[in-house]
Amino acid sequence: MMGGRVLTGRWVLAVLALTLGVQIVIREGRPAPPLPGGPYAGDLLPELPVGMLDGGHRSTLREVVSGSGTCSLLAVISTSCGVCARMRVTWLDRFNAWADSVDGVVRPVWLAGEGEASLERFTRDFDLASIDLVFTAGSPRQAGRELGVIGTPTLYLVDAQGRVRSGVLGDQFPPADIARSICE
Amino acid sequence: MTNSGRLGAWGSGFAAFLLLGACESAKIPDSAPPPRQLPLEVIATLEDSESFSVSGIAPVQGCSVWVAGSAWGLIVEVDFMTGSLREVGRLPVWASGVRLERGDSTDLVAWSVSPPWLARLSTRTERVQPLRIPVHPWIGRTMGPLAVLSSSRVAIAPIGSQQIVRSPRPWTEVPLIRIQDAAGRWVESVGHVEDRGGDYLSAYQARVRLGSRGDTLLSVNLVDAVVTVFSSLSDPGGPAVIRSVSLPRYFSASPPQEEIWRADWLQIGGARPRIYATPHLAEATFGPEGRLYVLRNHGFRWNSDDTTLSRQLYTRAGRWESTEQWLEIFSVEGALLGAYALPNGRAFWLRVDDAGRIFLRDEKGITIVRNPVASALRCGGEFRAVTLDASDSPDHPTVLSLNPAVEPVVALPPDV
Repeated sequence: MMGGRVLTGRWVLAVLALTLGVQIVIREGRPAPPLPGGPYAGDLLPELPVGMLDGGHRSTLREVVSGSGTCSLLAVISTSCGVCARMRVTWLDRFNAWADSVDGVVRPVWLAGEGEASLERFTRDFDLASIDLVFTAGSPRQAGRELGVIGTPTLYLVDAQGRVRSGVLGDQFPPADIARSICE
Repeated sequence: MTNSGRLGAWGSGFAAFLLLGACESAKIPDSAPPPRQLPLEVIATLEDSESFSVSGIAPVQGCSVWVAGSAWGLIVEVDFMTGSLREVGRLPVWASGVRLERGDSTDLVAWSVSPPWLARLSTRTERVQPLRIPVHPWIGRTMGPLAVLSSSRVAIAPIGSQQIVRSPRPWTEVPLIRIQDAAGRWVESVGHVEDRGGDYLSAYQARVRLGSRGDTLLSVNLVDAVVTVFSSLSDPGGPAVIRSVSLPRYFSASPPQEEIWRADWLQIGGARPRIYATPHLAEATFGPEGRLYVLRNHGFRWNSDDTTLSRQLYTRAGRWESTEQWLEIFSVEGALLGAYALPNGRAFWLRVDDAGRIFLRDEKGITIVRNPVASALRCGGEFRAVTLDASDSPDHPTVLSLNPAVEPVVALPPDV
């Protein structure tokens, strides 16, 4: 009788220890995804493969954004983000007012990670012709990591040489005086 | 029993105790028994549709109500006697989450946090008069919960909404409530935001809802469940705190804590704060008679579900979650008049009118219940349920026009 109790106690302890050990192994064994990071002010935009919605021209993000020789405001959007859905209606007017106050040419670029068809559906019924619509042609996850996207929309003000100068998370614009000093 | 046997038994008992303790620590125990909850009588329901989700409701003449669409601010009138709908028009602003409040005479007040926007809305002419909104020293123009006072004045708690606002270091003293006149000019400051340390805790603990009774301004803090009564707005020295009343507390809450992760490459919006808190109240509103109606939080448990990203960014996975809610009603003197079970278990916010109705915003839409402390139900209605089948879209054909008799808002003098 006594021996049975001792055995039961040992078994309970062993099971508990085993459970704990298995949990630790599972937790420690799973490689943690890398922490997000992004282009700091002064960094060149990453050379991510992208396509342009108007004709599907393929290039790299850096070439697309810095190709016109002017400043660009790159908005990283998601077709499933509610704020981004509202931006289709509200953003352009706000952008134009902001760009007017910058006293320089700023080119609007939207980048979506969900692919060409999704971006085409997302923008089809809206008057966004003055925005360069770009989609990632490679891994959206990789693009998000390299661009330091922890939420959408994320905006980067990029100078004419393709260097990131200012980053904004959310539906706001970089301060106009900063943009003026970079883009005039 | 041998020594090793005793050790084994003690060890397993101790491990079980630790496990039990870990489970128990994830729940906040009661410090006082919750009140007995009575049922509420549901009068009618206004159910969201695919194209319309309610973000605001206010009574208008007769027994009708106006509701605002959460996506694009479409105003819809619901005839409470028949349940029929009329699309009044879209507000002339790209605002989401528009709230509606009772105004004076035939006016309502519409407001939104994103973008910060405030306007009077005439139910007679169906025109809109935008009002100037306060420039907050911390974050610029911002809107928060409000109460309409006599003489068309409006009291606003600029950082009292759910938006988390960073407070400056060194600390800058700011009023808790600002009062504007009919033209939108800042005429009075009431109370002040307390420095609670951290970056976001001060604003978090300034979450208040406002109301008025006659010429007296009322506020209730959601976090600590304290009601503050301010002296008459017509006092020469301006309103001052004349009474603070703590509502009953059914658990002991630890002080809110914050954890902030910063994406250093983003100069604006790169801080990702997380608040760990157990607010006593989920929401609150003052009725037109000055009574206080609160949605209680209760049964907080730690929910460790979290995203992979959040698990990387923060030291703690998960957050406190209230597992139970109910409605409590307090008299103007602060006495508990009753506690009531919510028809759908939970609600996000609520409004009360003077016709004996309480409007509860829950996950289905608006559930309208009979006010159990009102003397009579003046607007019973003949319908039980109506689906808000309206098109809350940016290209709605009717856009409410601005009141032409009003000067443009930009012509107003700068803030005091």
